[in-house]
Amino acid sequence: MANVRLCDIDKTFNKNKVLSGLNLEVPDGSFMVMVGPSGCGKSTALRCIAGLEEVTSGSIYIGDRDVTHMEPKDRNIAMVFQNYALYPHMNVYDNITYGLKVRGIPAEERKRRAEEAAKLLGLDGLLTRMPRQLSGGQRQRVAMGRAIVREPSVFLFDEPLSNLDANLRNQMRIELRRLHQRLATTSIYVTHDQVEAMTLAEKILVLRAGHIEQYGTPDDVYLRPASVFVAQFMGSPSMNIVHATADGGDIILADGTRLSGVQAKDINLSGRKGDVLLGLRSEDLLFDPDGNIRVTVDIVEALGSDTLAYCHPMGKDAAVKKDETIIVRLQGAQRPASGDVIRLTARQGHGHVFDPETQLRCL
Amino acid sequence: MQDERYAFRGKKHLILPILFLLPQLVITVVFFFYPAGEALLGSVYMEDSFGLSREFVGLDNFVVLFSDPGYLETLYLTFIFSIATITLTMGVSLLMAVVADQVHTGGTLYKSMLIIPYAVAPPLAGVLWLFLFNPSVGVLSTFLDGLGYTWNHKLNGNQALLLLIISASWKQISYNFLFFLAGLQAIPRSLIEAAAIDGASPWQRFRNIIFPLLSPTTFFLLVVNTIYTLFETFGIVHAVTQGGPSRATETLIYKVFNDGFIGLDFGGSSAQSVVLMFIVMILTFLQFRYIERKVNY
Amino acid sequence: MVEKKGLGRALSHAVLLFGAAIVLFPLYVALVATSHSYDVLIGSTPLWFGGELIKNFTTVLTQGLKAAGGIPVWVMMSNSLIMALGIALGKIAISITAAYAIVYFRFPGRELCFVLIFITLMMPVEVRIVPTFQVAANLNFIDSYAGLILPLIASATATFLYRQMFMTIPQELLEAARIDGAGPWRFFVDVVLPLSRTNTAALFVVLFIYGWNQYLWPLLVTNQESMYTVVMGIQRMVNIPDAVPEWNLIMAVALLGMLPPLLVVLGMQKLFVRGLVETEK
Repeated sequence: MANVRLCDIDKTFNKNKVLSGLNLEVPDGSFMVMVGPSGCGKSTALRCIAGLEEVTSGSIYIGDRDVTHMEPKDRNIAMVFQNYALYPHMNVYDNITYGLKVRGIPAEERKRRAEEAAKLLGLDGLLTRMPRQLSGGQRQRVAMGRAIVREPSVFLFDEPLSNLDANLRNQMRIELRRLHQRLATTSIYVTHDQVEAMTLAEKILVLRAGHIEQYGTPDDVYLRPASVFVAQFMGSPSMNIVHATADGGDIILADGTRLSGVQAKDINLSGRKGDVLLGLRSEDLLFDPDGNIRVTVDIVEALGSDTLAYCHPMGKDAAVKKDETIIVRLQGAQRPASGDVIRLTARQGHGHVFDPETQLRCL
Repeated sequence: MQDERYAFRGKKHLILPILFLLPQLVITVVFFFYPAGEALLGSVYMEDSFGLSREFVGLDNFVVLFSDPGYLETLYLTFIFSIATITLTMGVSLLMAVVADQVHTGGTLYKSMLIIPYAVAPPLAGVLWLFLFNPSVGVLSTFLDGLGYTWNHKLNGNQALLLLIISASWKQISYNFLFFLAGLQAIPRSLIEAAAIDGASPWQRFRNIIFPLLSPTTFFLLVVNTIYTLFETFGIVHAVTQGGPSRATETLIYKVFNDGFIGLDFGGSSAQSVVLMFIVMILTFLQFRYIERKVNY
Repeated sequence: MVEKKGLGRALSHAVLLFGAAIVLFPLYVALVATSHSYDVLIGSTPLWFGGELIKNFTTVLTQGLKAAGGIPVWVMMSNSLIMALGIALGKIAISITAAYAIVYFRFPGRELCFVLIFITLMMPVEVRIVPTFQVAANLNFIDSYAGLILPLIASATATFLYRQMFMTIPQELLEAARIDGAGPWRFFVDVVLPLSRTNTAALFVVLFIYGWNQYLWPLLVTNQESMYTVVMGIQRMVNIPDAVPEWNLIMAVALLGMLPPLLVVLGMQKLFVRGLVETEK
């Protein structure tokens, strides 16, 4: 058991800076998810922690040990790979215990640990099977079994669920959580899927182009996104961002509509005047015949439980940006038709305001 | 994500790769680079008749070589031999492969039979055909005699060459057949079916779809067969005709052997070796160029 | 499927039967000749078997051809076997290790090694035959198994095949192994060798045939008849000055000389075809 600390990590590939100045601490026993679009450096960061990549500068600590220049095997970590990386010529038992065998752990102990892990993961009857005889979900479990038997101080996961189909992915996600609750081993998990990030994480690290956009709890990241990027990356559909103006604590939309008190509590607009970006999640725009926001419905997507309406802002003003699309989440029964003009209200205290220059949250 | 393969790096991981590479490097240097270098050097020196001293003569050996009508004849002869052998073997193999690709019953049996010559060493193939065409006891020469055609490759240079071409082609059918068959089986059925639906006749399907898609295989085989006819057929020539009658079947490689080991003309034989290496280098280059192009599109 | 019917199908079979006949005819005639005595073959060309088959095979295996030195063919065949096995195993051993070093290590001079090895890719021993012979002579390799084997394993084809194969082993396997604690040696033994098994077997088949069928090199590097290989030895029997060749015995030797590779090709047909097609691509 150990915490993981990254201090000023830089990583350069052929003069391309992949990670710059990464500083963070993953608390002991927590589940941290690194999320970001492809190429943001999340996998590289994970591989640096694993020791599969050398950092260009900076230090990595696992517990009290400086592991920056250690071989992967000496870091006391275990890793689960996206394509499972099972040894194709070894059966499940040998796959799971190979790491123990290399480390010279006696056969009896290997057997005990393998059986324990197999029971935990529901692999009991499969120990003599070869990887090619297993389904995707079973292979995934074997890969986890291989990590568990090592009893490492840190688990590393590199997009472990992305090769599974949607149903299995949901199921495995829940199993992963259960496993973590039981073992309480510090875990670092990389994914590009924000739903996985939200559901699994105790802490989320949003990475973009090699630097940290935000590091916090899922609630922090979803309810108080630190930047336009985080706001739009987390949540589906993406958060609506519209150009607006701040005026005496109120927000005025491009068509002149004045919104009072929509901004979240942590947002500070006092003394701010002029252009801002207003972010509103689709579920925070309410269908309301008396609402003061008027939009034209373009496309309607019925999802069953609710309906997404893709709308264009309407305004008397020529300055209204017609190309801005606003997505509204409507309750099941509400089904406007394409071309309808509908009225909306923004939920009080749920708007996000960002500085158009820095793209950061106005605090 | 990563532009380099993950690998063992650093000072710690230096001894094992060196130990692992050493055997191959040593053998390559001793039995390839050193002899090749010697051949290159030898080709620009002239040794005196006692082998006591040698003198740098530049490209003289090559000049001598290419102004020797005997060598030019050998070049021409090798060219004829290669072209004929390649055409014959590729033609027959392609026909067999195309037909075998379409047959459902007995396909495996035909395949097993057609790959038999691969196992037969070139000189053995030569000896088999030598027996069939033996002027006094050969089955085929007797048969030809019955038709009123006299076969005696020991006297008739053209017949000797033909005998070599037949032996060499027979031996190489298997190899070409297997590659053509693999190439044909790699062509998606749907393409051929689409062409059939478009109304293409079997010949048109072959000419317009199958043959062009087979061209990488064809090209590859062309290079391999060239190398085969240039070098590996040495055994056939040596066992069957020994270059005769009166040098009518003396191919390039046979001449290198003959001049180097029988005639003991090291300089001349080295120059010939260098010419052969040059030919192989061009073929290798062509092969790689072609593979690259294939990969790129 | 674009199906062939009736006449077309019959034609296909006719073509294939014709091909098979071309392939089998020389072998059939050789077998028939082996089954006759020397006297029968003088002046006649029998097309059906006689009764001397076993006798002729026994004669050549145990006594050889008197006119050609009288070395029993079983001696030549055991020489061939040693050479073929030596070439196949030797080439596999040096190639798999060299390819492993090139693919899985990064060290100074790696590119140079790579170029040095792969430049030899298509160079047959025949092109540099005279100086190679001199090297072998200087090393006292004449009439030795080392002389028969070593110069013929200096080629990069097998190394190239292994390199291609290693590149298809997923990277993550190495990463997983390193996290599991395996160093380069253990990864080689525990993962790479077992994963190469099928390729190695296929390569072995192809190299065995390659080695068995060598001709020019054994011709040069052996002087003593007891070191002859069967493929090379047969030419002495065919080209006897001032004598009529004993065709019944020569054909017996030819058939014996092709028997081991033939058994390998037919017995391990799948493996062999795979080995052949993959080695060259």
